[in-house]
Amino acid sequence: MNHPPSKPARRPTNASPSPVTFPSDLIVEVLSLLDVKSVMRMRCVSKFCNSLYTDHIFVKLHFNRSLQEPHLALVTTDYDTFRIVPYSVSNLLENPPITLADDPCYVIDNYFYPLDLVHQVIGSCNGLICLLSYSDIDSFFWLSFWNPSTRAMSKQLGFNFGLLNDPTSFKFSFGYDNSTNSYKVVMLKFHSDKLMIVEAKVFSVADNVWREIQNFPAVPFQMIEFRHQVNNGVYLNGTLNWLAIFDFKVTYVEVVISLDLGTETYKQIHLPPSFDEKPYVDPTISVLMNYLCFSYHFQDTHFVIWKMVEFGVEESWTQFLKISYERLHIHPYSMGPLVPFYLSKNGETLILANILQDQMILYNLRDNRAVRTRITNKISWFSVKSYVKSMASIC
Amino acid sequence: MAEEVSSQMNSLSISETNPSSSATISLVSGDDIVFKVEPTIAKEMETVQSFIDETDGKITTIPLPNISSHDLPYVIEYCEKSIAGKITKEFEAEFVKKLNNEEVKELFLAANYLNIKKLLDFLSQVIADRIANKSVEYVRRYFGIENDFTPEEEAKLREELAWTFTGVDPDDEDEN
Repeated sequence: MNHPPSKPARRPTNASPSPVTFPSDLIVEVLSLLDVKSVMRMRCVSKFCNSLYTDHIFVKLHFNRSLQEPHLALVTTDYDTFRIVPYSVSNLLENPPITLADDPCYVIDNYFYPLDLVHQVIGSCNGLICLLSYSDIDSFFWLSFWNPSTRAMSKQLGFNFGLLNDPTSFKFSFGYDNSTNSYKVVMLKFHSDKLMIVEAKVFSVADNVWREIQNFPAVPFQMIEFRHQVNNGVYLNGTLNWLAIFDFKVTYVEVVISLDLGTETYKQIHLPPSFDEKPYVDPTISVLMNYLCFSYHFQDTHFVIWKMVEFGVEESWTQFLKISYERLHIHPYSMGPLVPFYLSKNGETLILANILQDQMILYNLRDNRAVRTRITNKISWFSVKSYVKSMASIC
Repeated sequence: MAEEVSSQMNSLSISETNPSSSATISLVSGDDIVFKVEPTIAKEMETVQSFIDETDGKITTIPLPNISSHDLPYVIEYCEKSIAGKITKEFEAEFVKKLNNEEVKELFLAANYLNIKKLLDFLSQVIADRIANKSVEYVRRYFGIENDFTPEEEAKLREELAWTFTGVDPDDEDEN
């Protein structure tokens, strides 16, 4: 990276009287330390600076050096407008009363045409949000990728016609394959008449095609419980993970099925040993502080979260939270699944959402106090994804 | 500013008369000022150290044509602190407080030339912080980058990125 400045630098210029011309590698060093908005503005400096925007090495360097402050992509659907509004987690933790600004730059669609088009947030990865848009009347769908930090929306990708006759029988998940540096979307197809057969297809952004892979080796939870949108497959370090039921008809064992996005092979991970009863409310999996977490409803009195300290090693499941419903001010019978979304860096505050309530819960682990967020907009909390700012783009 | 530098140079010229100076390294700035430093300081400067190693330590006078006598004392000061393990946030803040943007830039290039990783990383961050809210024109001047867009290309890009132009500091020529 470091060369003596005597190396041929960029062409000298008449327009700039500066006697010193910077080697381009030093310019890259400095730009990689700027926030996303500033890097975007600096694209106007020269063609070289503009080219960094699509330079994968620069995008990675910038991402690794960024503060990686967590944000939430809040999904709101008011009247006829589908919006995704970025919101910083640190701001949310302060819990001020919030009404999200009606900024047109966050409008994804106004539903002018076609009228039956539906958008769904599939997932987030490396600062990119993956969206599914479909029409169940005309039976087509496509994917698009939005970066809320650069405000760049990809073109429509993975367009498919005829496949999506019943949108409830499809589940999509989004992740990144580190081995080929490609974003991938996995589609699971469920047949209502053949419960045990779950077909899987992978869309790789790099080659822009849908490919069939080996059938999913179990029945994903979300296929049985349709409202259970939260288990759309959680992404963690090059893998997508679903809570699923193995041996559906006979022993009904709940497991985690993990798909390695590089090898496109599945692996089965058993749940914590003490989880042996079928709870009243469905369990969920999530990623908190880069750990795969498994949470469930315990004896109608507590909400329990386990984390897998070493990914893939079943012996490393560790119970790390047990919160009484009393503390959360919720009655266990009046709620759907509770989903942990985010654990603050200092481990102090857990953000949870409840499927039947339109609010997020901020739970302080130090003083065991729960408060509700004070956002006045109607948010689809189950479509909310956390992300960190990045320059990532899919053109 | 000028007084500070000259006082530093005085203190350095005193060390020249130190009798135990046989092992010291002489760094010669681009404007022919000699700075005598301990070999441990030279070790911090990879470019200097590799020059010494190549000549088996026989040559102890090293010309640094790309570095001025204005910048070299700062580099030496930073290296001294680094060896002493006294690089703290407070020291760094104080170190750059007295430097304007042009001086930081020259020191950055000096750190790059001498290959002092720690100083280079630190100054990259200082420059990034100082230009983050600057205009496109300022950054072009600062880095000496030619605008190679056609007016049409630039206008189109600026329109597309109009949202990034909010909160930009007005250019202040005095800073140069």
